[in-house]
Amino acid sequence: MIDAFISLLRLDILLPWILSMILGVFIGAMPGLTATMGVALIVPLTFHMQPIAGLAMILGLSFTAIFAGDIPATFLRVPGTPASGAAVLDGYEMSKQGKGSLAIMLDLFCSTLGGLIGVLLLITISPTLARFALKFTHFEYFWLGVLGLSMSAVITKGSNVKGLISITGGILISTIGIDVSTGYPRFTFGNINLMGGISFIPVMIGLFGISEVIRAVATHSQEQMTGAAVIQSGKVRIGEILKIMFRNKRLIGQSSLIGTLIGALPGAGADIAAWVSYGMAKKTSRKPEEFGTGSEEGVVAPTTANNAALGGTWIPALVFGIPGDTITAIVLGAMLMYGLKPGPLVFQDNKELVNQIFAVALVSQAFLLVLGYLGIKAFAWMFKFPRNVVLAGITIFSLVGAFAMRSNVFDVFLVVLFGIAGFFMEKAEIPLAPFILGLVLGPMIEDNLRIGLIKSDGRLLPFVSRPISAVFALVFLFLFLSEPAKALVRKLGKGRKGA
Amino acid sequence: MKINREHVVGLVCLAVAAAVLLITPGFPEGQEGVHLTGPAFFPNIMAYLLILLGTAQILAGIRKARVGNGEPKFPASRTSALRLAGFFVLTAGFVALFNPLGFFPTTLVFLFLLMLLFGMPAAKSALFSALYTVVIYLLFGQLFTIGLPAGILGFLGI
Repeated sequence: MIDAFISLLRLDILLPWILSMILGVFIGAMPGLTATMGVALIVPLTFHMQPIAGLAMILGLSFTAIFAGDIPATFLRVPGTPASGAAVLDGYEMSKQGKGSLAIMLDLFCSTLGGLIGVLLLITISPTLARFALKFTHFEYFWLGVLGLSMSAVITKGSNVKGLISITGGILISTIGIDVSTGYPRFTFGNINLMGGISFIPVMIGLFGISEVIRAVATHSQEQMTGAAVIQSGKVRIGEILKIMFRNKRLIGQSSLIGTLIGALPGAGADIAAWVSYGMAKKTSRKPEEFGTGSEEGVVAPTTANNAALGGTWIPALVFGIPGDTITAIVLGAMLMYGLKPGPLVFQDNKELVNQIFAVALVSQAFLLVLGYLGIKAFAWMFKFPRNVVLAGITIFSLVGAFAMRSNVFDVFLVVLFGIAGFFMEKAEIPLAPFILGLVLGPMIEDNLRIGLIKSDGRLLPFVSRPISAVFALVFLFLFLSEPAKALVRKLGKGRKGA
Repeated sequence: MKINREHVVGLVCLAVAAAVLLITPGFPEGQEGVHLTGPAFFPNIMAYLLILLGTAQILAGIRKARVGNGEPKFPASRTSALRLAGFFVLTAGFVALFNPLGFFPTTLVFLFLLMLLFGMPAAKSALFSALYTVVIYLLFGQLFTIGLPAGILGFLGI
C-alpha cells in the first residue's frame, strides 16, 4: 500500500489530479452542473493518460464536486448538485442566523471525514458488502424506495398531511414521460420535451433557488434573501469545528455507514444517502425538534453521508463491475477503454492499480480539505458585491445552469415553473423537501413494484416474505408507527394521571 | 364561511387527482396473462391518495375557519405585486427569447432589466449585467464547452 502512495508522487499524476479537483469545486458550486456531468467532461481527456492519472482525475473531481454543491446550498438555498438537496435544510437556516461560515466549515470537515470513512470501508469490507448488495431484488429495492420516502415523514415539520401531499405531488411528477414497462408516453400531451420525463435538477433549482428569489421580490427585501448569505464576521476556529464533530462522533459514524451502504447499492447514490441519513439523524437525535431550524446535527448528517456514499459507489463497481451510480457507470466505461476489466479478477490481475485507486481516494480527502476551503473563500468573495447584484446572479446562474444540463430551453421553463410552484407551496406551508424525495424515489418504487408483481404472478406476499424484504417492511412499520404509538402512550399516561 | 389556505390546498389536490383520473382511462391496459400492470396503475394509486389527502385538508380548513385564525395578506402591497409581475414577465421573456435571440442579447437585456427592477441605478446595472454575461459565457460556453444558443449573432460564430 505504501508503494501505491509513493507511486502517485509524479507530476504527470499530481497535476491533472489537482486541476480536476479545482474544476470539481466550480462544477459542484454551479447549479445545474453535476458531478456526473463534470466526470463526463473530463473522461475524454483521460484517454491519453496512464489509467491511474485518469482515475485520479475522476475520483478527485467527484469528491470536490459533491462537497462544493453544499456551498450554494448553505449560503443561497440553491443546491449545487442533487446530492446537496438535504444540506439546504439546516445549512441555510444556520446562514440565516449569521452562522454560514460555521455551517460550511463544519460541512467541509464532515465531508472530508465522511469521504475518508467511506474509502476505508471500501478498502476493508468491499467484497462482503458487494455480495450483500447483490442479494437485493426488485422486492428489496421497492422497500428501499419506500424507506427513503418514509424519511420525508421524519424530515417534515408541521402538518404530516401536507408532507404527504408534497411527496405524492413529487411522485406524480415522476410518472410523466415514457413508462419503462410498457413504452407508453404518460401525461406528455404530445410534447417531445416531456417524453424523457422531468429531471429533478431543474425542479430542485426552481423549488429551492428561484422560489427564494421570488420571495425576496414579493416581500421587497433583498436584505432577507442575501442577508442570509452573508458570511458571519470573524473567523471560525478549527477547534470549534472539531469540538462539534467530537460531540457528534456517533452521528458521523452512523451517517458514514449509511452513506457507504446506500452508495454500495446499484442505482442509489449520494443524493439518496444524504436524505436517508438526515432522516435517520433526526429520528435518532435527542433534539429532533431542532432539525430544520439550523441544527448542527442537520448539517453533519447529510454532508457526511453524501461524501461517504462516493466510496460506497466504488464497491460494486470494483468488485463486480456493476455501477453504484452514474459516475461509476462512466468510470466503468473508461476503465474498459484503458484496457482494464472491472470485476472480482481486478483484485488479482491489477492489484497494484487497485491499491493506487485506494491511495488516490484517501489522499483526495486531504486535497478536498484545502481546495474546499479555497472554494469557500472564492464563493465568499462574491458577497462583496451589492446585494441585488447577488440576487440577479442567483437568478441567471439558475436559469443558464438549467439550460446547460441538456442544452434545452424547456428545462429553463421548468425552473421558472417550479420556482413559482415552490413559492406558493411555501406560502401554503407545504414542505418542499418531500416533493424532491418523491420525484427522486418515485420511479424506483413504481418500477420495482410493477416488476416485482410480474415476478410474483401478481401476488404481494413476496414483498414481505423474503428475509431482507421482511426486515425492511418491519423498519418501515417502526418508522411510521413509532411516533403515533409514542403519542398514544403519552396520552394514556396523562389520562391515568388525570384520573 | 371564508375560504382559507387549507381549503385551497385541498381543492388543488382534488383538482389534480380528478385530472389524473380523467386522463388515465385513455392509457392502454396492462397484460393480465403476465401480470403486467398498465401505465395507469401507479398514477391512479397516487390520485386516490391525493383525494384522501385533499379531503383531509379541506376538513382541516373547515376546522380552522371555525377557530377563525387569520392569514397574512398576499401580496403584501401594490409595489410587491408590481415587482412580482415584472419578475414573471422578465423571466417569461428570457425563456421565450433565449433560443431565437441567442445567449448574448437575451442575457444582457434580461439582467439589465432585472437589476433595474431590483432598484439598481442604470449604469451599475449595465456594468454588472455585462460582467455576468461575459463570466457565464466563459464558464459555460468556453470552459465547460456547453453550446449556448447563438441566435441572431450566429453570423459572428460565437
